[in-house]
Amino acid sequence: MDVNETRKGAVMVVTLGGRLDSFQAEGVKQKLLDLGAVEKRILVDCAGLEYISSAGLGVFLLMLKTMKKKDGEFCLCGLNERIREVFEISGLHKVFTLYKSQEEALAAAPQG
Amino acid sequence: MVQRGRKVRASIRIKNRLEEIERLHLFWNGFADRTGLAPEIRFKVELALEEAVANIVRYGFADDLGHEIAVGLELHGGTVHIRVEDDGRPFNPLKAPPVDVEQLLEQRPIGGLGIYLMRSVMDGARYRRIAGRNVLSLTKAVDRKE
Repeated sequence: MDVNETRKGAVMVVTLGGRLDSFQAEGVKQKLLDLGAVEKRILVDCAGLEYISSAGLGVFLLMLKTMKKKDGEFCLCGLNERIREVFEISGLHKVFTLYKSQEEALAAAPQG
Repeated sequence: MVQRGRKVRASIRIKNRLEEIERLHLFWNGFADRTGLAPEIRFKVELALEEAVANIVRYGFADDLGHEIAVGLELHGGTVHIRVEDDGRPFNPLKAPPVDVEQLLEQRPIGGLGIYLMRSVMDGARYRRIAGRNVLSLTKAVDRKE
């Protein structure tokens, strides 16, 4: 599982690569929670993500709740077709702000 | 191409630790490679398999001892059959409370989606308690276009 962070203006972009399963989810959760403690806006780019299970969805939900609580933002982009379907089955496509690409997400983010 | 006409079988024993999920995925992907399953089927069955086993690892055992979960796969007659067996406390995942997928963020619990996903992506599911063991059987037709 690859997790990389890059700052793009006011947004912290976290790029995930590989497989977000029950075992990997714990490490990703810690990493995102650490970032969430200091960042206001987080965008997770899932373009390199090949697989996700409910454990991964749980991490994203926890982050969304955590960031909303402090008036921050947590968005996702680049979901492949199969991962998008898992979001749809779970009804989570209506809960998260999902962008097609990092470019689209960053263009939509308020500047500053 | 899915191999027709003959049964392909595989089995593995998984310890009740989350890191074993990685071994489960390798096992599944080996089976999917061998049988030439389509990517959508592969993804969905993999998801169901993980959810079934991870749920047992997390909640299935009342003690802190090591246990084994037996996983059997069979491709036969255009259907993948999964059998997951454990010696944990009696638990019928098919009776788990339904998940409200229309819930808004505020009401959404962090967990509870796993079993729901498992059932959603598979065609058939059956639970039995046999000789002190939980036996979960799942099926998925592999020829149908998803």
